[in-house]
Amino acid sequence: MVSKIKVVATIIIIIIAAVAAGAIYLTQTPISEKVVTIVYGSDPGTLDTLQSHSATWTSLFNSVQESLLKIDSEGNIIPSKSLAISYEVSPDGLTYTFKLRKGVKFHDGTPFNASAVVWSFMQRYINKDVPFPEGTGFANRFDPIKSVEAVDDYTVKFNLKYPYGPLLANLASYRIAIFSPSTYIRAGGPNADVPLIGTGPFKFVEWKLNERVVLERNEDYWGEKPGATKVIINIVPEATTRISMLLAGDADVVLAPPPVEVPNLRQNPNFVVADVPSTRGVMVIMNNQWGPFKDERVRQAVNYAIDKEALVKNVLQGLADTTDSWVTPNVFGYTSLGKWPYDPAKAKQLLAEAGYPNGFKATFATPSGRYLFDLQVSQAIQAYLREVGIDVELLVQDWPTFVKHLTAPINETKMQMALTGYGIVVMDADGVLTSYFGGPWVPQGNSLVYYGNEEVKAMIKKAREEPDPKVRLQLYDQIMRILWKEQPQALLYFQKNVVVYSKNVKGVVPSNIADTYDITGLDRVGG
Amino acid sequence: MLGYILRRIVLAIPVIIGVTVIVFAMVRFLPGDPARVIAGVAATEEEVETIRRQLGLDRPIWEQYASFMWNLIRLDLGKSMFTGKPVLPQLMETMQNTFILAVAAMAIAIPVGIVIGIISAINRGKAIDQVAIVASLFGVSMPAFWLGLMLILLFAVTLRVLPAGGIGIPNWDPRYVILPALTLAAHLIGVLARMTRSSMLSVLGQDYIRTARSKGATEYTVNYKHALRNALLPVTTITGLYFGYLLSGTVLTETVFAWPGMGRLLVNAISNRDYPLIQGGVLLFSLIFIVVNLIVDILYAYIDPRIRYE
Repeated sequence: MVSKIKVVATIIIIIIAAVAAGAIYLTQTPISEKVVTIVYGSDPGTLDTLQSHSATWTSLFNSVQESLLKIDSEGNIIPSKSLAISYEVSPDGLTYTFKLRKGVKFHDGTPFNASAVVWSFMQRYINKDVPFPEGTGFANRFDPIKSVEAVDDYTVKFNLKYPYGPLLANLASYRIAIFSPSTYIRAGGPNADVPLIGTGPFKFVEWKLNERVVLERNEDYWGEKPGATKVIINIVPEATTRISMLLAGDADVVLAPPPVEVPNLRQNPNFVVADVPSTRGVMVIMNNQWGPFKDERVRQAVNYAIDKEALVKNVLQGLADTTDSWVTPNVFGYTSLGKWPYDPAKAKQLLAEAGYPNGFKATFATPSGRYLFDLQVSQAIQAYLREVGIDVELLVQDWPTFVKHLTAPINETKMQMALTGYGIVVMDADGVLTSYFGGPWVPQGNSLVYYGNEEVKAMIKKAREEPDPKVRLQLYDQIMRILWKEQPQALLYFQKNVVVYSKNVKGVVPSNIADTYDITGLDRVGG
Repeated sequence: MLGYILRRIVLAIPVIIGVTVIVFAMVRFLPGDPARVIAGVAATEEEVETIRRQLGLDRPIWEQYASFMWNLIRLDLGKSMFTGKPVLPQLMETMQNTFILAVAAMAIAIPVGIVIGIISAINRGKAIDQVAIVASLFGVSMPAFWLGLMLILLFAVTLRVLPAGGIGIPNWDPRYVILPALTLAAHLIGVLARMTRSSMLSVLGQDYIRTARSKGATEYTVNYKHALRNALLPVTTITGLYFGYLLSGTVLTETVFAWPGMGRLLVNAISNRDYPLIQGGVLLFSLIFIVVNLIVDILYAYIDPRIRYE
């Protein structure tokens, strides 16, 4: 009996000692290390940024894989921070020649040069060795490029099929990074387990599914190195836990904090809340070829019936802006069209004029948890529409079901109304307009509303192929005016990008592009 | 005994084959198309078709099933449609996290739950019994996400003694497992306490206990040598099944504590329609349940010798 007690006691002592030793070991961090811990709600899903569905992760990974050009918030190119130090455009607008920065190496040791750029574009973006996913709106973005060729080791030429206005904006997108060909080929190409390799200020260390991603500083970075030596991005699905981790000091940065927590966090002197308007638009789409929605007066009525200001204020805690255009003011092609006011009386009148004095019934599909408070917003819209006699039945769908519901061909579709969103990735109106209105209908193209005005479609194509920015601006003004009146979809608001971080951290910047953040200047300033 | 175990293992094979058929068919009956989810809303039909071909989803379903089974025999569960990583190592790594959490929760719950149950049964009707009954009811009915958040608020935010979430860095730090394990244990403690109590009470009322008392056995001997052993039979079953349940992941607790376990892995896989990962995961769960049931049966045989001779 005594010996048994001894054994148990010994085991307990060993366990306690091991735990204590472990705890001491784990809490020791070398002084020279500056670790910043970020928490975010979802997993990257893939390291191939071309296949990624997550704008947030792709923007974080842009600190590892850089794009050819870097632009400031006004859309001007900053040569000192770009991999391409200068460029020239031929007078006919058909050739763009870029001079590349010398002495830059990828993290795997491969030199960055013209052949890496040519390979990245020809293999991945133009010949599309993997199909690009949604949201990026990539499907037709590189169609205008005929070829990319190396003139010498540090000069690259882009040959276009027709003058393509948005080219530079595309090359500056965080989505369009330059890959290291050797790592990619060694790993086995598309759909293989390819590590994240680039030229950026941070190097990729590890990714554990549903757990974390770790980056470390690239000591050989060609530009200004960030202060932080290590970045740990923990994947924490529960919003309350993310905030608790921040309050408890287990995390330094919370990306996209839940709106309900934001007012409290603003009051707390230990933290900084930064928010900027972003290009993440949320809208009610309507099947323009179905019943009542064939009539533009009905579609206008839908927009009049929804109190967008109230949605933003009460549901989204002010973390969104109602809009007066199809794009945000910082996007090329923006033109102010005047906001759609909340006017239920006018909505009723328009419905009556269109032949629906007693309203009608429709289905309204909504995802849950995809966009900020999407389900709550949909429920509010349901109530607003009921006020004017439109009786909508909410179909709350999980994402795959929702996607299927929205992408059926016109003769099979059951989509009547739905809440969905778009993120403008490239700061040029072309992307959104071509995707949603200019191109073919789903499933062949991206027009979710089955948009039918051929005249407008032709104008969108013309604006895309026009080399003169002034003429393009005029065209976009005309196009957007027509679309604003036709209301093929009711754009509700643009969400803000929000981040909250501890006073001990700096250099995490919410960007004005949908759901993206810039961490290239991340640093720890104390504590 | 050995023959009994072998027979049970052989009987498990048709069950597993049945499971593969059901799982395989079930994921394909779900609305939604993985190729479309990967390609996204704005993708063209042509792109979706390319992905479908890459994933082998354009082949007839029986052909897909045949190749799934053929690969399964070679222990190859395929690659995740989303991450591109092989399914089996991913499941093993995640299972390891789930296993740590499940064992920790059981290590807390079994002794505490059973002791409360015994104390409560021996002191039936007294104040301590009443308190125990209310406390176990509390444990059973408290939702994991609420209890989890309350524990985080108390221990991580206010007292700052334990981490709020995650699994610990570099690999795993015992401090991180405490709060999620407590959250999971609360429910099991409640279940075990109530189960042990009622089981003890029914045993204590039986004739052989009266015999033991009348032959002059001490209260200790009666309670712990004669009664407890028999009272533990149903408790063992519940504990075993509960362990199987914990090993199949506890999505709420994992979500609250950012624990990278099986529950989150599978729920994400289902919402992505990641067929290989769903199939692999459900298959693993059925294996676990078969193994756990087997172990419970063997434990039964150990606790109750009569079962061995049947």
